[in-house]
Amino acid sequence: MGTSKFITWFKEFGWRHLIGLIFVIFAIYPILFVLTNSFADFANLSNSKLIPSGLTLKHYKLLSGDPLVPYFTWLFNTYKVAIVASLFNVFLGTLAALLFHDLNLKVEGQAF
Amino acid sequence: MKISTIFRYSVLAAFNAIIIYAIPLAVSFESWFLLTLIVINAFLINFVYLTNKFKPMKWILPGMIFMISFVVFPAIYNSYVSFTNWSTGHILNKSQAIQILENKTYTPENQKGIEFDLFILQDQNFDFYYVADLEDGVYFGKAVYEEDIFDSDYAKIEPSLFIDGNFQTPEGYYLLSGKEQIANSSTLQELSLVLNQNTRATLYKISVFGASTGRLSSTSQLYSYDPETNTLTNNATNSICPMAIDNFECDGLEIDPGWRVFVGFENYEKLFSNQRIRGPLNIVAKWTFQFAILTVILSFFVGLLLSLILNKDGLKFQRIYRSLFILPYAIPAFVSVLVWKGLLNPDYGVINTWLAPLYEILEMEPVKWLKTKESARAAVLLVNTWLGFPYMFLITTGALQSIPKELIEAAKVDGANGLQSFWRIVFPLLMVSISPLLIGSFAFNFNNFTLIFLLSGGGPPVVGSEVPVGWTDILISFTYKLAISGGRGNMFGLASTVTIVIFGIVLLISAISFRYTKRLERIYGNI
Repeated sequence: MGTSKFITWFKEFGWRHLIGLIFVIFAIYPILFVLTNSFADFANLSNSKLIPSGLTLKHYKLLSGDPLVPYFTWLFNTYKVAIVASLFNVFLGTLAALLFHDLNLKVEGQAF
Repeated sequence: MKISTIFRYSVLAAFNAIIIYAIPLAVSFESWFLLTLIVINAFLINFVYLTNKFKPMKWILPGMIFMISFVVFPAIYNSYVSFTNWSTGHILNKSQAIQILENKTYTPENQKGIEFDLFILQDQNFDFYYVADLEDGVYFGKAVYEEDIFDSDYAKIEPSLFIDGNFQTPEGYYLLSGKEQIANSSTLQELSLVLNQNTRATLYKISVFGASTGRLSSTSQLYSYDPETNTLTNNATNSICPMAIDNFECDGLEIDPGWRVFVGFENYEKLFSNQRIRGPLNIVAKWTFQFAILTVILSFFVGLLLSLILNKDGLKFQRIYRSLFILPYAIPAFVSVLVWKGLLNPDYGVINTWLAPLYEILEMEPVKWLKTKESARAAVLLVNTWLGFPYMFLITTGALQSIPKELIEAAKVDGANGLQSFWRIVFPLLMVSISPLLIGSFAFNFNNFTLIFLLSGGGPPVVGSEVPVGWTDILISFTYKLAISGGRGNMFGLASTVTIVIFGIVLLISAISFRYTKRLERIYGNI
C-alpha cells in the first residue's frame, strides 16, 4: 500500500521536486560558495572549498574599519551616482513624456 | 506674475550666467569647437524659452541636447574614425608628428666616443663651471641643467687657463677635487656645458687623482622638414625622405610616428579582403551568432522546463523554489562570473574536483576548462545559461499563468493528450508574448561583453592571426581587443569599422524582430 501511494505521489509531484532540487543546487551553489568563503580564513576564488576549514569574521572587520579599504566611501559614492543619475533620468524622461502629453492634447483633444 | 514664470526666468538666468562664465574660458583655452557648441546651445535655449513659438520644444530640448551630445555625436565620430587610419603610430596630426620628428637628436660619427679632460669649478654662488680641454681649444663656461640648454650662452674659448700644459684655477673660482665631485655627483650628472648649437660636454668619469673625463653629447637634429618640397631630410645619412600617405619613408623604411589621415574605405576593404584579418573576423562572427543563439535556446529551455514543472496546483514549496531560481538573476554578473571562473579552474576548481571520479572511470585527462577551444566555449555557454535561465523562468512563468485555463480544458474535452495540448495550444500562445523578449535577449547576448571579458578574456588565442583574437571572442570583445588591449598596439580605425559592422547586424536583427512580432500579433492577437 505504502509503495503504490509513493508511486502515485512521485508521478504527480515527486519528479517535479527531484528536477527542481537539481536545478536549485545548480542555481545557488556559486552563490553559497561566495557566502561561505566570505567567512574563510584564507580564501581566493580559485582555490577554496564550499565549507572552509577556518571560520573568521576578519574580512567583514576589514571592510568596516581599515582606512586602506574605505568601504563606506565606496558605498556613499555608489549612492551618489545612483541617486543623481536617477533624478536626472526621471527629470528628462518626465519632460519627454510631457511633450507627448502636450502634443496629444492638441491633436486629439484628450489627455495622453 | 505666476510662480512658474518666476521659476522659468530664474533658471534661465542661472543658465545664462554659467554660459557667460564659460565663453571666456573656452576662448582662453582656444577650444573653438567647444565655443561653437556653447554659443549654439545658449542661443537655442534662450530662443526656445523666451519666445512662445516652439512650445513643444520647451519639453524636449534638454533631452535632445543630451541625446545629441551623448548618443548622436559619438556615433558620428565613431563612423568618422572608421574612415581614418587612427592607430598606434598614427595618432597625432601631421604638424604634431613633424614636431616630434624634428625634436629627435643623434650623435654624428666624428663626435662619437670622444673623451677629454674636464675640470669642475665652483664660484662664490656655488654655481658649477666646466672647463673642457678639447682638441680645438679650451672651453670654459657655466654648466646648465637639461631644461636650460637652449637658453644658455655658448662656452668661451679660454687658452689662458693652461700655462705650460698645466691647468691654472682662475681668480674667484674654486677647483673641485675628485672626492668633492663624487659628493656632488648627482647634481653634476645632470649638468652640461653647451659648446655650440649641436654639441655639449658632460661629465663621464670622475677621477680622484688628476682630471676627470668628459664626453661629448650631441643635440644635433636628426630630421629637418622642408615645407616647400614636403620632404624630410635625415641629417645623419643625408638621405631625403619623401612623404607617403601617412608617414615619411627613408630608404624604403617607414618613419615613426606617422600621422592620422582620412583613408576612405580602406579599413572596410582590409576587414573583408585581407585573409589574415578576414579569417579571424569569420571565426568571431560565426561564434557570436552561435553563442547568442545557443545561449537563448539553452536558457529558454531550462527556464521553460522549470516553470512548467512548478506550474502545478498543490505543489509544495512552490514559492521557495521560485525565489531560489531567481537568485542568479539578483546577483551582479560581475561577481558571479568571477566566481564561476574560480569554480572552473582546471587545477583547483570545484568542477574538476567533482568530475575527478568520472575522469577516472572514463580514463581520460581532466578537462582544461577555459584553456582549449571547445572547453572554453562550453564553459562560456554553461555560465551564460546559469546567468540567463532565471530571467527566462520569470517571463515564462508569467506567460503560462496568463494563458486561460479554459483553453487547455477545451483541448482536453476535444481529446488532446497533455503533450498535444502543450505543443498545439500552450506553446504557440507562449511564443506570442515571449518571442519579442527572446529576440531582445538575443540582442543583449550578441553584445555580452561582461561575460566574455571576465570569464575567458576571449581566450584561448587563435594562433597565426594578424590581429589579436581568441576562440571565445565575440564581435564586441574583438573590437575591444583591436582598440585597446590586444597587446599589438591600438587599432582605433579598424575597431571602429568592426563596430559599424556590428551596428549593421543589430539593425538587421531589430528590423526582422519588429516585423516578426507584428506578424505574430496579427495571427494570435484575437485570442
